[in-house]
Amino acid sequence: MSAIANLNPRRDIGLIRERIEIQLAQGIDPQDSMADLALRNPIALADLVVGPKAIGDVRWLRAALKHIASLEESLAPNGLYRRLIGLSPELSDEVLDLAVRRHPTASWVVELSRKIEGQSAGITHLTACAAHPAFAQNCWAHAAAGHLPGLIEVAKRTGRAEPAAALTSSGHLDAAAFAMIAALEKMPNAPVVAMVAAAWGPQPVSILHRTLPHLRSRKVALSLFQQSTGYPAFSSLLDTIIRAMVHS
Amino acid sequence: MMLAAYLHGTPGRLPFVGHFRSARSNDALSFAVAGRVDARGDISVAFRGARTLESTLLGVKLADCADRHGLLQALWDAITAVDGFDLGREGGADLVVLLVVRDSEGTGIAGAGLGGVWDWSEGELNPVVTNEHPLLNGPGRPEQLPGVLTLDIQSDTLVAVAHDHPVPTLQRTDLARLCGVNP
Repeated sequence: MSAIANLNPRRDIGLIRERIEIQLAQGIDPQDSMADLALRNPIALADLVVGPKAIGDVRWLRAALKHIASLEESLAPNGLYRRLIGLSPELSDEVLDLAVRRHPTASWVVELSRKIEGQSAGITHLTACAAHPAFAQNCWAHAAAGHLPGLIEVAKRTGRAEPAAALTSSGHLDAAAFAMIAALEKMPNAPVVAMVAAAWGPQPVSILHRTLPHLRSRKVALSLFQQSTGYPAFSSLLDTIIRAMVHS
Repeated sequence: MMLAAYLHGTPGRLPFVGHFRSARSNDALSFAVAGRVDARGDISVAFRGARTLESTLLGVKLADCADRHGLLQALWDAITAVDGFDLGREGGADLVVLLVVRDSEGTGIAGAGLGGVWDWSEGELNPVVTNEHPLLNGPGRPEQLPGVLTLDIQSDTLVAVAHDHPVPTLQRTDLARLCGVNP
């Protein structure tokens, strides 16, 4: 039951804050009070969640994530999610997860990912939007931001060729080669060579050569070979390597 | 200097879908070809079509050609002989290609689906074919041997844009990369 049902959010915001803080101190779930506030006055809710005198308790903030739509009505998403993370870094993963699901195409998610995931930036975002039409666009944005390990990991998890192509476009050729092999390990038919050629130009042989140090499996090498037959010198070299590889 | 033909990429994330490039020379003859096929189709299908054209062009025997005109005929014959099923969903009807041939007497260019051709020398771009020139015909494989333009300049590198290129002008900045030519 809401502890603030009889209070006016416009007039009694200080009192509402006090009652919620008492609830939290007593170990009472603030969800009912929050739902009441979200229904009656989303701006007051936003004030108590992310305003200058926000209630910083992690239970309050976690409960607020269930009312994210109400909060977005009061504050631009970019600033809202940043503020939530600033108030409670321990909720960072949950906040990022929510942000990427609600705003898969937003450019600010790229920077938010970096802030939260660091070196692995892009994994949460791109994994969540792998089936979304904006997946390619987002791969390019993360590549431009230099999120190399994240893109390689996404290639590994999804088997998609776009991360390799995006890395190629940004000039990260070693990472692109790594992502090509990572994608083939997951999806042997992933069109990595065609996609990289479409991004780089019709002669991607220098990138193909960079894949060789990453080859660990004969199966993957055979996939790469099948896609590389249009480049006779490289496919001949790869054929020699495959013959020397043990069956796996 | 080696003869080179480049086709400008299409603006977007994947500028070189279905792009192909080929160049060869012997003591007497040289050719350079750049083009694209099935550029709006499936990436893998377009890629296969492009590689098919490259391998076909590499099969042209320069030694069998008397001069640049014979070489140009051999190149067109090779392109025309490719099965349309290997060239994507339009069977080659969307082919864009620039062919450059050279012998001791001069250099000639021909093509299909082009929106303009420039000479790229010493960092400068000079128009060779623009506007309403008859060389700038529609895309696709020709049913009969198209015309050839003999250049009155010594040009080693020619750059073309496709007929549907949004802005049919070129800028020197980063041009090689925009043509898919990388170190």
